[in-house]
Amino acid sequence: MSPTTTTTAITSAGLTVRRTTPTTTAVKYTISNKPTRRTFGSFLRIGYRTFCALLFLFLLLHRAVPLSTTVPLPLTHYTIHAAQQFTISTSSSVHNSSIDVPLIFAAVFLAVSFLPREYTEESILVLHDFGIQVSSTGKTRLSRTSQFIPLELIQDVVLNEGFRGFSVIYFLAVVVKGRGRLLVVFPNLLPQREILEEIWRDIRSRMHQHPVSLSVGSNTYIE
Amino acid sequence: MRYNIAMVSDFFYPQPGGIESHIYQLSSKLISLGHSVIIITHAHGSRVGVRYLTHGLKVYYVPFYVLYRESTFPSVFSFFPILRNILIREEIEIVHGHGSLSSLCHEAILHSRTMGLRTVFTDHSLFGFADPGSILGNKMLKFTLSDIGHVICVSHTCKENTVLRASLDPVTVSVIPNAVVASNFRPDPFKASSEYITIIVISRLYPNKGADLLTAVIPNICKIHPTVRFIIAGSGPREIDLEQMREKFQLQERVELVGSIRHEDVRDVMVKGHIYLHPTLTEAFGTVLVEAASCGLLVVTTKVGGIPEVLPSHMTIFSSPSEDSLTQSTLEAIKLIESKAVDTSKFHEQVKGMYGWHDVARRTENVYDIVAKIDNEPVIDRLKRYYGCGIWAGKLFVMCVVIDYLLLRFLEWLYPESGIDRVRKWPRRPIDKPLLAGENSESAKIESEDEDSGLGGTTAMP
Repeated sequence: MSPTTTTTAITSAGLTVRRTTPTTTAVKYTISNKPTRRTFGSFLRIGYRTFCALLFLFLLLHRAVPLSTTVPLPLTHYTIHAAQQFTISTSSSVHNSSIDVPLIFAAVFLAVSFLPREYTEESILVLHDFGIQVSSTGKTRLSRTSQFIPLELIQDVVLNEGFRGFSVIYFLAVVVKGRGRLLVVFPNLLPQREILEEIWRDIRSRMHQHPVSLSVGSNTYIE
Repeated sequence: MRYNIAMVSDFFYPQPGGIESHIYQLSSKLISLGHSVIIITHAHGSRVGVRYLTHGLKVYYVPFYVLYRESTFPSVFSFFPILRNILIREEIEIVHGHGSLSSLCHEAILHSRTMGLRTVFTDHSLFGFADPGSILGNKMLKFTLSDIGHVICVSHTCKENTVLRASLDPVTVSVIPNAVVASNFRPDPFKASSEYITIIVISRLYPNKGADLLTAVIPNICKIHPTVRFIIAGSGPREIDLEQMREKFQLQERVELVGSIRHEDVRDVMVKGHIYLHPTLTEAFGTVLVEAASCGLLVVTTKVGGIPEVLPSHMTIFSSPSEDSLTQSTLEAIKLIESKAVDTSKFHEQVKGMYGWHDVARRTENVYDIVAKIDNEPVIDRLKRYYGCGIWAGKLFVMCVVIDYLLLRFLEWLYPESGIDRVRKWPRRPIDKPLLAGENSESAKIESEDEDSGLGGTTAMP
């Protein structure tokens, strides 16, 4: 039986809020603006990415394995011709030391098309009696920045209002001892007040609760 | 009826001054009457963002460009986007602007009218009609007050002045004087010296506040009366003239220049004296006179502006704004104090009965009731009012208002109302009814019904 309970909600602004409890004393809120509905545009994108991935795989195999042993594909004729055009030596196997332009071209092409992440995902993990970890994803699929603040350094978790451009918005922030600035949770997504209130209440109740009974050897916590 | 009110002015804490404390005191008392009040002002130095004062008074320090003496740059439309955002998120019904010199106030009134909210304007000062600055300022005021719910002035003289400057119908102007917190200005008869008569002067040392008159009058009085002392607090360009006068007439022991003091220290300076001298050349109300009377000082003042309306005649000695007249009146006051013909110990109780911020708040609430009943008229009628401001100015003003409407439509497209989070308001206080004679405070407080402002109940914040 998994102790994790997950609740998901979709807000009016198109944000997905997911609440999980990895353990009984931890809670994690993940908010992302990943589109939940399959639109035609998303199909096109998925198709495009799959094509790029397959192309990359094919070119890799084409280079790694000599031509004669590859399964003849409709595109083989074209690639042989292209390879003969671009490689310095006439043999098209990988053990020559010529600059493999098609492979580089393909790698760059794929990096540009496959690696960017169109959505942002941000999360806050609250570990009771331990600390808070906030993380947010970056522009590429491989990047994610996380930050852990131990409980001793947390002065307070506040729901504050501030100016941003031409508006005043609510934001959730952690007041960290020793730092002059507030640490803003969900800095890129900045969800609405209702979500932030719920998260804030949950965090506050977890930070200030004390286990009513802690019996050694039987791991009972009463929340 | 409870309202969501926004006070808008360039002049607010942390800058000290009469308008600033007026706004703060009025807002606090309105909150105790059950309304919800926020204050919008421009950022002061590094103080930017949303701050809370006592009783949940929320202040928005908006980042904005400050031009001169804490008044912001007078652009007509640049405040609109952020003002609209604040007014929508706070669900404001009435916008109350303070100060004719505050461009934030004028802009706020224009934009609130475009958005269809009710507006009130309070004028705190008197202005001339002749010099170019006044002419432009009055035209600006005419523009703003062409379409306003109601105007409040701090004295009848101020009302006359405002009505003439802005060509208003006097019916739409109310007079609600300022007040003082009398408990902050209690007298202390032991602090004042029993050997010398001490005269206190507390004012900004600018020529229009009478610093030149003061410089002329002090040597005369000191010559005629050998033991009188002066304590002068405040600073300004004429401070140097006062110091030179002191040097010239060898009055170093008799004239003390304290420099600028904070508002909290005013009472401590005042109780050291017997007489308060107010040599100003222009004054809309003169709250400092009430403060001085509350501290038990006999007031000698020039009879200008709204000053005759402030205190009863047994507390003041009037003079005309000339050197001889002022000298004469001051000597008369000294004689009265010396002969103990005037009993200043009763002044505090009398002033306490005459002025109170609760009274001001109740009267302002009446103004809000009047304003809330006014229906919004169609745009064309609104434009007609602006058109009547002048041959050239009318057309210019109409263009400004039309552009304002277009700007509003644009903002509604760019920042739709559904995207703006509504604020969770500070919990409303029980209504504070004024204490009648013989009642104690428990029976006077009435628990209010919890009016749900649509935010899911009035549960307390943290």
